[in-house]
Amino acid sequence: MNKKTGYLFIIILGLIPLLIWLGIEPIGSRFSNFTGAMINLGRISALVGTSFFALAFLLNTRLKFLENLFSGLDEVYKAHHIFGTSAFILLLFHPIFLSVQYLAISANSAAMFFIPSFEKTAISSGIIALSIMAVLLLITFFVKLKYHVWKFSHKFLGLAFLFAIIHVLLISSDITRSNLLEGYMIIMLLIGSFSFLYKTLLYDLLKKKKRFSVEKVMKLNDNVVEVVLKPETKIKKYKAGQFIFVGFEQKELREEHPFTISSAPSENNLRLTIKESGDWTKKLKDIKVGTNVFVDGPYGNFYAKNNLDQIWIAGGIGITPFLSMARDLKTQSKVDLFYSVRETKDAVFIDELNKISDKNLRVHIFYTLHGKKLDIEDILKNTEIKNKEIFICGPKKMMFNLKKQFLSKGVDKKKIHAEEFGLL
Amino acid sequence: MKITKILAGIAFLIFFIFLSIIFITGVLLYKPNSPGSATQNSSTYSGGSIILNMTEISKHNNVNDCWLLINNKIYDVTSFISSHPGNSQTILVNCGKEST
Repeated sequence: MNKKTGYLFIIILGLIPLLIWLGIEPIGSRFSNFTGAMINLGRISALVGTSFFALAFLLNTRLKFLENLFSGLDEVYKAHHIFGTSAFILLLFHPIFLSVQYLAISANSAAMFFIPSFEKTAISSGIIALSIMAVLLLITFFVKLKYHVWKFSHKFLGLAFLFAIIHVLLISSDITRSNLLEGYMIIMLLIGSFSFLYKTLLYDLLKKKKRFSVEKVMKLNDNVVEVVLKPETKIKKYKAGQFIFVGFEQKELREEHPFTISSAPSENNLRLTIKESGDWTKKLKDIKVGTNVFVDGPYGNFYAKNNLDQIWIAGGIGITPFLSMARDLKTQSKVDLFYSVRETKDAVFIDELNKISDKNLRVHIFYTLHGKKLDIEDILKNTEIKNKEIFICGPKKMMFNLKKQFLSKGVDKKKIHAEEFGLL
Repeated sequence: MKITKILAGIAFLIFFIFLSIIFITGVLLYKPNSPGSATQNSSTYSGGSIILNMTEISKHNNVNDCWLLINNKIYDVTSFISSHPGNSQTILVNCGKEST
């Protein structure tokens, strides 16, 4: 399924209240004078903004159907980000539009409109909701917090949503005049609430069921370790190229992080190949054998769905999905792997890859130490790019550049797959 | 995701500036009439009816307290708003105003 399906799905769900609303009263009478038009813009921004706010919670749940709709969990998180931001912008404009009617009377009455008080519970709860939302999202955008601190702060958007619910249910508006609109908005509010409760409360209980333990930790070089996880019962079926969320039952390592599985699906254990890139991954090196591990997954859409020949391009630690694929190599399609690393010591798996390589898997290694980056010409020198599935995993900038170069050579966008971890 | 960051930043900036202007002009620079002088200046009593001026009327401008000025007479329509068959907003917009 194309990722557009997912976006379309959310946009339609967000715009349905607008359609119902337009059916309540002819648009002509709503926009006949300036103040009326402003009030109605305020209502539109509220209806669509609240729906997107609720759907942003849904997009944070990792439910399987979302991953299918968006063809990949990374895209679901991207959508969570986009629709959450859209909700914020729309809801910021909601009171601005509504205050115009008071501004027409006096600046003082408009100012009073923005001051919460106990007498006007409905409006006040809206003000509180928007204030919480503004603080938390400004932190998200403009303050660089430690990941776990940010994640904790972000949970309080649930509180903002609670006040938004109170506001929507108490305020006298078009919602109170149309049962259909009221019903739809209540469904939206329920979707948001259940998604939030599921993700913050239930999810932690559910994931405890999928238990693994640390079997082995191996240092591969200065900053790359391989962690072997042994399942308590059985590993859930996965495809080479997919990833899991992992949290360890040890102080400061509980926070779950996403990692590509680097072992082949036929193996009895899960292997993760992890590069040190922050506090969390730094501590991981010293994890003790036997530590309990919570695993959530598999997720991801980074695998071939046909038998066409393939091009794999790995930048640095971006080799991990291809390790799994190489170890799982089926003989139907021919593969060219381009492995770009800084210098020899970074090419941690080159020996194993060379061993696997045969007429079906050709391995090309590139060193970027002297400034020359792997580009499309390097690939064209070694292989054809027509009618092949192209997989790229590496630093953001590298993926962006290569994607652009492939497109400029006339490669179909649908054939280029890039694994992005930036948002998880 | 830089674009969403920029858009959210701009939206908040607009919101912030808008609110600042409203609060500066509406609260800091706002000089309310003292209650005594207000009645004296704005409303006069003549022959069994109270004459109110527009400043007095314009205070009754919301859902919970809505006066309409129709043919030079004041109507308190607060209780009527919720039962108005059409869009209650058509009344609300005119609260505290001349709406003949």
